[in-house]
Amino acid sequence: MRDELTPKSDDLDVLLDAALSTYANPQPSLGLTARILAATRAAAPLRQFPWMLWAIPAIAALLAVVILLPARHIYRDPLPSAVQLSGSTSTIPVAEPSSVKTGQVREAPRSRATAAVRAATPVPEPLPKQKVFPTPAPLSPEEQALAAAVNRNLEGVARQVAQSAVPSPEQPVEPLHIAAIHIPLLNPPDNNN
Amino acid sequence: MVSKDVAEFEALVARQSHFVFRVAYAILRNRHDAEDAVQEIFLKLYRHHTWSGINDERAFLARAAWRVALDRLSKSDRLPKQQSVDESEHEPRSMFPSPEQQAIAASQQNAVHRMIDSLPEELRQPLVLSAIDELNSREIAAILGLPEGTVRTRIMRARQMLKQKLAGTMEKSYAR
Repeated sequence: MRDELTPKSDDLDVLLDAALSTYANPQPSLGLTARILAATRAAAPLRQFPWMLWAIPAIAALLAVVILLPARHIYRDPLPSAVQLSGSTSTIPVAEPSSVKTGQVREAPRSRATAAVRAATPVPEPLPKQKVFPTPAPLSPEEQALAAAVNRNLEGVARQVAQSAVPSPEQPVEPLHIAAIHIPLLNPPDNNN
Repeated sequence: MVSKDVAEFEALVARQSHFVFRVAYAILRNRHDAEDAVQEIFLKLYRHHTWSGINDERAFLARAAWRVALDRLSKSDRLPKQQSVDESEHEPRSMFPSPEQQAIAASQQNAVHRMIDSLPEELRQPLVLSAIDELNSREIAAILGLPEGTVRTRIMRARQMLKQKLAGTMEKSYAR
């Protein structure tokens, strides 16, 4: 009786195979294939165009250079690099930074708007450098009269200048007398205390 | 050339995505996780262009799915199956179908599924793979990285354990 009720091995195999078929063969949700293909298409550009891996950073760097280049302000130094006294052959060199020597001054990058305005503004042509400072100019009438008077009595003028500069030994130099200074006390001390 | 590759890849996805899903599902036992794993597998294949020139694409994809699923399982710290299975709650009541038994056929299959879940992993995995799209023992051995003889032995042991459990539960139901 018990043997009849005991399930046979073949029946168990059938039951087990049926359960395994449903256990191991679930169906994915609808659209799995489409989702996979969509994900691969999203990744497709890099796969289909491998040169983009290096081209994109290169283009970005080029754009950055193009954008930032106008921000670098270039101008020439309006001041002469050396000062030469009028009527003198000696020159006084002026210490210059290296950037000034090259005529370019580097500035910190500014905003795009500032750079655009600077690029649109015409830069005036710098004046030519002068070897003599100040710039030679014709003498005024007063200067011409002074120069003529000096030329006429050059020796007399020189003597007068020398006399005014050096004290003559004939004139005795009197010593200075400084009077004694007496400063009264504002509040005399109280002797009673 | 590129469009030809894309067409071949799309054909591969259409041909094998369900198979890869089943292999991943055998490990993960979760539909959403398995679908994510399938998507990850095909995306890696496409990016690295490793899908062209495969000799046995089923074995290759099954092994890739197996590795990705195991990796996801280890990262998620989630067990693929229920730890404790109370078989008495889901034991099949009879071997022979009756109207009532047919009505509860779905719950019977769930009971067997729980028994499969309760198997040790080293036995469950080859058993489940053997039920996926008729993978043979050689392919399963390639997927699991085991000798073919070991795979056959484990499948036999798994089936034997399941049959013993089924027989025991059925005898209990007959005795009632």
